[in-house]
Amino acid sequence: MKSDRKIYAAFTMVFLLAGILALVPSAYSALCTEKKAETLLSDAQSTAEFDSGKLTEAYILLRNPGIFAGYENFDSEGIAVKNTLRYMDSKIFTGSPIKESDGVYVKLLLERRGAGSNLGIKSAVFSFILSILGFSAMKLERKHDS
Amino acid sequence: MTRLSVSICTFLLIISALSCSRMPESVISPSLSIEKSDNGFTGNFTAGLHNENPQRAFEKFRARISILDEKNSIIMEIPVNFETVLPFETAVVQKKFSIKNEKCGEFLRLIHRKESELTETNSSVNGFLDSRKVLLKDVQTHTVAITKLLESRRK
Repeated sequence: MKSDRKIYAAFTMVFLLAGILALVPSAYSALCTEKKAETLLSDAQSTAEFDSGKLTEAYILLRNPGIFAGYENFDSEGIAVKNTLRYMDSKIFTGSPIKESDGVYVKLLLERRGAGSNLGIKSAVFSFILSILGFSAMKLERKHDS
Repeated sequence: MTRLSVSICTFLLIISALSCSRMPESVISPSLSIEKSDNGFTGNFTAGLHNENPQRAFEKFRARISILDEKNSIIMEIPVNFETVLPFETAVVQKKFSIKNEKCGEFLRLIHRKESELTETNSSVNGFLDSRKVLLKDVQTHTVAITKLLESRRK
């Protein structure tokens, strides 16, 4: 019987690579982008005088969805995101004053982005599990061959 | 071999850059209202142009809208000119124009109305146009990342 080691090796490598590709941007988003946006958001609202510049900066930072938040995918929970983007884009573009109450829209984007990076991390864990399974199967096959 | 790899990479980069933004291919809800005025008829064309890209805005959007009659010959062309169309925004195209008495029937047929409905001055009729008879042509624009655009507008 022909050995399946090469298939197991390819399986292991593909899922390992997929896991790394999903993990790196998601972890960067969770640890850097979302943290920075969160800090800007709380700074904007915690000072005695509301800082619209910081809120705008937080919004622009979150305007890019990363690879998993997918602002173009409007599931039932994410439909509010589309309206938020349209409203806030227009407000910043036309130079309308950003109010403290607009913080809810930035929070909504932050939640969406957080859900996206969560999905990325979970996908990475799933890929790593499959990769470990492939690796174990490869080891077993080697043992069986020898 | 190296030259071939470079060509393939360039081709893939061009394809990915082009596929980044979707251009509008047609107008949304084209409608026409015709009003009888003292010296003939006045038409008012309205339609929407939607930017469905979540991340890219259209800048200097130029195009032409052609309205076709039943025989598919152009009866009117409307230039479209927008400085910026933001993501998910629907820009409204509106054009008011005068219609000669002899041409009025042609426009009324497009919205399935009769001239007898426009008997008194200031009376008007309106209706949606068949979207197959309203063509969006010669679209010229360049797309820009929304983050870049917003960053430039930030005070």
